[in-house]
Amino acid sequence: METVTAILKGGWSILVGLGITFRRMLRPPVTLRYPEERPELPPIYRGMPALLSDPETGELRCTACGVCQRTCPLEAIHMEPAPLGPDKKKRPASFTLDMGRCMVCGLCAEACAFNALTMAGRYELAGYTRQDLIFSLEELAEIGRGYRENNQAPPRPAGARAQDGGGVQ
Amino acid sequence: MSKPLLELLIAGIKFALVLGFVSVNALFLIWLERKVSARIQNRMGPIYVGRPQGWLQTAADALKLLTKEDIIPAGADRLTFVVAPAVLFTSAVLLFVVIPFGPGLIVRDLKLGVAYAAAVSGLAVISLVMAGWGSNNKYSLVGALRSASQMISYEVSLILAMLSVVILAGSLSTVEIVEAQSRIWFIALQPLGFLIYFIALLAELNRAPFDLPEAESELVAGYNTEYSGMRWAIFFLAEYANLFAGSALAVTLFLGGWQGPWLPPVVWFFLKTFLVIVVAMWLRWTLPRVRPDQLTSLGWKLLLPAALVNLGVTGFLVLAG
Repeated sequence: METVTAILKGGWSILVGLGITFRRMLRPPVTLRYPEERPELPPIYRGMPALLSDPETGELRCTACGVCQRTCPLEAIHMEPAPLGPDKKKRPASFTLDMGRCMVCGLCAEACAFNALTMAGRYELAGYTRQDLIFSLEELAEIGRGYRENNQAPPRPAGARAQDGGGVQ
Repeated sequence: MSKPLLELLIAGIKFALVLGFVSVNALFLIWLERKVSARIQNRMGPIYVGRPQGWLQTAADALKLLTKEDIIPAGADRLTFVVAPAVLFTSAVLLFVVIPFGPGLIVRDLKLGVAYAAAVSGLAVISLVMAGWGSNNKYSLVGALRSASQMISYEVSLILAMLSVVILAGSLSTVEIVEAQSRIWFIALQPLGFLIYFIALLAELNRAPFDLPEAESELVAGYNTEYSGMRWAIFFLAEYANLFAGSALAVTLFLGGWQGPWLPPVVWFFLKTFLVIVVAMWLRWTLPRVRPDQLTSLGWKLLLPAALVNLGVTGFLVLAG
């Protein structure tokens, strides 16, 4: 008797399994045919860093303060401030990003106080030479066009840092 | 042209037709298997060669395998190693001799058709043992021995299940068995027999959940570990040719063969056969592999007694009236 119930139970479990796989078969595939189809990235997707411009004036927001350069743990960013012009605004003269060093941690964008740096949605970061991986000020500004806000610095309520585990212990 | 020569020519043409059908059909089945497995796992399967559904993928694979280097391991027993795939493919092709695709569409209607099919399908195990032994590789040998023990335990139940159909039809000829099912399919009279036949068939074909001889996760690839290129492709083709032949026999014995309303007989035959094949694939991608001890205990302790009882009851009922 025990054997019979065991057999029936086993047979039933097989039928249940077949039902599950059958329902799976009816679902559409989840595959994204990558080079032909592109993923829809979430707005806070962390690709490579890029420089943001002011949408009205089209000017870079960067003030060449150098916080990003100091924050970068891999020394991937090198910048130099331009001499002050007649409008007394600070601008970067050069801004080089070595993507061969960058680990896409996003600390530079998080540290930027001027909403001038963001992690752009560019994820195809390979190049044929090492030189291909080094981006200049102009290139970074070009990549940053179309991005309005720094996506790595979401507005947080004051004092929330300790709770989300982001603080240094 | 003299008469024996003409007969030889006709036989040759039939053979070429069967061979062509077996190869093309095996390529199609491999594609189907990949598609079924892909859909069960929410993937797409082959899509690029032969758009939009990748139906040329397996043909391209076969061509690629043809051009590959022919590798024979240094310590291999050359003769058995080389001959083994051919033996397996031959046993698969020989099965097609007695499969009735439609009324009159059979290579040869042997009087002992069912016995012939059982005998020929038993040849497959010789090839697998040859491959395992000839490779001089421990994984191959373990796979081959597993397949031998598995085939011996399941062959008995398989044949007993076939015999109960033979008793009902009163004939060993496959054509007469199909004709005997014009009123009612034997699956209605022999539900247990069909179940035993199907389970034993899966074990006989080394298909999951009984694919112990090629258990990838433990035996690399089982008996065909050392095979590559065209020899491996022949193993692969033969496996699917066997799947088709076994399913076609299941249709012949239990599902009324070519019989069916409205559609032409050949269409019915292929519809039923592909239904059986798809169910076998569906099972493969649903169930995990069983352990060797579970496999043998299922075969000897459950299927064999059940098949014997089934045979006895069938014989008694046929005798009684």
